[in-house]
Amino acid sequence: MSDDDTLTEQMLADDALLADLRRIAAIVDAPPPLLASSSSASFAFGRLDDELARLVQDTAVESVGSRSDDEPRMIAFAADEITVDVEVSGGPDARRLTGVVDGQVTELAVQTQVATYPVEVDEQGRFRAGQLEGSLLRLTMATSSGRGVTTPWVHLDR
Amino acid sequence: MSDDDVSGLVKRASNGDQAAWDALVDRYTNLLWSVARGYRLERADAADVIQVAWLRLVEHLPRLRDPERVGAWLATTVRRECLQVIATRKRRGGPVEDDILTGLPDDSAPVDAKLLAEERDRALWQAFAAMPERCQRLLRILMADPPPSYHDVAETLTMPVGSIGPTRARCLDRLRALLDDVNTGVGS
Repeated sequence: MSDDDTLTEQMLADDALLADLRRIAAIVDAPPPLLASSSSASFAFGRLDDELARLVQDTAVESVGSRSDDEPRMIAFAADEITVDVEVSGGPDARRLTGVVDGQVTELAVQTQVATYPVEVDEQGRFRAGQLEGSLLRLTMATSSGRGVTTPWVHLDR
Repeated sequence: MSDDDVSGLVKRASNGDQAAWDALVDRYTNLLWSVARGYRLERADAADVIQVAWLRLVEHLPRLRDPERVGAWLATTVRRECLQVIATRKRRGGPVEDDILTGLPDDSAPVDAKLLAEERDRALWQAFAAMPERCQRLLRILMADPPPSYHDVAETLTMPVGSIGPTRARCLDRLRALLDDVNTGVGS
């Protein structure tokens, strides 16, 4: 048998072993059936024409030790015409948010993967929302120039 | 599915086509699951990070630079989210990883044992779980159905593409050695 034959045999054996693992994983650790439907439903959250704001600050992902879990989490977003600062506090059962937007917005909503919470923005640009359900959050806005702005999703359990 | 097909789906999805989106979900769910489980996230956390990746893709659809590489983009997003979950766990002093063996059939888990009737399969999965994490992670991704390209694997795991083949071969050799150990252990 040539070296090439040995090599080919080895490759076939490797492929077969990997195929066995693939088959076993499909039995013992298949993705949950609901995963595909929730992933499919994500599409409805698309706001494809909006400007995507940038996440400019998030105290939850900054250096270790800079924040305890009891302190409110500060998150800031920036877009061309506006900046928004929000403070999230409370645990998963009683999560609340206060924020301030710098720039002219005609509409603002706090959105989780579970629900949308339209909020009033006062003259100073302040807004608040309470009893938020869900673990992911973003803000959607319409600016006075008619542009839609959406923030990236942030994960509230982290 | 060719690169053109994938990039066509991304384009159609960017134009609001839910069926194209669902075809992407169908194609990549198993890969993303493999990535997240390769980082030893619990099943609920794994499902969570995958949903985040899809939500991020919806945001980025119109801006995706290489639509034909959407699989690598999703898998990389899942990897980053996994690392964040792990970092948060560490910071909070919680358990960093679940024991991948808990998903394994053994004598104390009759339901799972039934799932894997074949003795050899049980031994193989046990050997797989005993491999170094790096090997598990790589093989897990290569086990995805449909299997990703080496290019996508390399990008996801930040490995040079030329090292995937040799590392795969070494990990499978390691697996065979561990399988021998498991079988010897069973016999003793």
